[in-house]
Amino acid sequence: MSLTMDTTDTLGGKERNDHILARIGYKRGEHRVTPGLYRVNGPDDKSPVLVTSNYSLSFDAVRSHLKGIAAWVLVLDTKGINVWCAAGKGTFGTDEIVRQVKGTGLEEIVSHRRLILPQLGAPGVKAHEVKERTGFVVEYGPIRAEDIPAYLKDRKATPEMRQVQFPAKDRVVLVPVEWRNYLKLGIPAGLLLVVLAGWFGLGVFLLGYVGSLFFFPLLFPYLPSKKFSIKGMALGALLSLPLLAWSWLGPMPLVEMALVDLAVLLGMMGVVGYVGLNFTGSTPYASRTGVKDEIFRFIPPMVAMSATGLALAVAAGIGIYAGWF
Amino acid sequence: MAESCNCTSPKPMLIGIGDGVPVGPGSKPGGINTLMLFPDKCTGCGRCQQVCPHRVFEVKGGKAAMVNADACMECGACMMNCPESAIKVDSGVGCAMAMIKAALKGSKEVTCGDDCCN
Ligand code: SF4
Ligand code: SF4
Repeated sequence: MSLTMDTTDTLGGKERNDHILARIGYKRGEHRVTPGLYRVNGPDDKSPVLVTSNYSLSFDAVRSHLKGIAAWVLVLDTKGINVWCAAGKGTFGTDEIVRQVKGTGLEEIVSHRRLILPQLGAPGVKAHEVKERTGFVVEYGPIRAEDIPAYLKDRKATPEMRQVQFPAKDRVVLVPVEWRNYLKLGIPAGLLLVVLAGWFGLGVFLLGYVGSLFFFPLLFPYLPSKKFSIKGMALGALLSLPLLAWSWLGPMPLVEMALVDLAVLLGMMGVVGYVGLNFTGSTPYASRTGVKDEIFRFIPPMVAMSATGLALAVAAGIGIYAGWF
Repeated sequence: MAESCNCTSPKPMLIGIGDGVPVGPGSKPGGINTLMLFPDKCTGCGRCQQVCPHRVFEVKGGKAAMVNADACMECGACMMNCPESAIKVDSGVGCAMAMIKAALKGSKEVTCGDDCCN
């Protein structure tokens, strides 16, 4: 009576293209697979059941790490959202698990009563309630799909497998979407800078927009402080150094140079500080209370710095045209 | 994780910037989060230790203890999965972009997903 679908443990060109598009944020929410029960490598009634979301990257991560392992993959309908975010919304949750377990007739397909969930799905799931409503015991597997084979050997996750990590490769893949997110602000600001300040304006744009959104994720663990805003301001100061050096090498009169340098430094610290604060949601570290605290504490100084920077830049500009220096 | 929108923050729930935190007779860490453990109710089942991505809990002598409370990101996994309701945390989305957007729109609900980060 139930319908199962076949899939493989290998990814091809089609999947790779889909992943690239997903990474640049193209057609968000449309990188989906059909929810339901999938067979990988000819499973039988004793094979493990792994639960995941219907975001194609999540599903592909799970199946591609089942090399040569016979298993069932139960895909929940999370509307194309990854496990962690979907757990937060509750779509990767108790009700949807119950619905899929019942809908696929899982209890007639497997003889055991265990579901392996990704640990990061836990914020949406009440394991004890799943047991009550379906008879299936929830086992939380490892956070990362690459640990699945090791976990399946003895059904034990080491403390390392249970600890969320945020390595460079996970941080850098975020960069394209970061660039995209700020496009609507970045492009007009960049054009304005180039029109008003020429090559120097282009430099400010490249460092403040392209550079900050690239270097913040990259340097994230090495920037000082635990506060995202301070990390951002520190990076802003760092990225303004090449611009300060540029202005020193140029023929600018001293007063003008001082104004421009101060404008650049304050502006970069304010703007990149905000970039840092906004990166909170992309990391697995920020708590709601911590972010709220940072918003209250750091947005006023960041606005003040940016506004002062802008005012100084305008003063320097007017000064040049009026021939004050 | 961390894909379609760059958000990785679980548990979007109601937020109002500046709203209160439920307080009860639990043991609460000094750090800046709302995590609370009620040891009286705990049976030491170990679920919290299993689900927490930041190794906040450790079960010692049949009771859960907070060993790394400051690392808590308020995802809510421990609270959801504790069968004894021995953990309380004001879980929510730790995403400045979502909170600022909600504050500007005057809406109380902050979510991540489809329309986040647009
Ligand atoms: S999940 Fe609840 S009952 Fe189990 S060890 Fe943790 S606090 Fe105690
Ligand atoms: S809310 Fe999340 S991060 Fe905090 S202690 Fe519970 S499981 Fe760990």
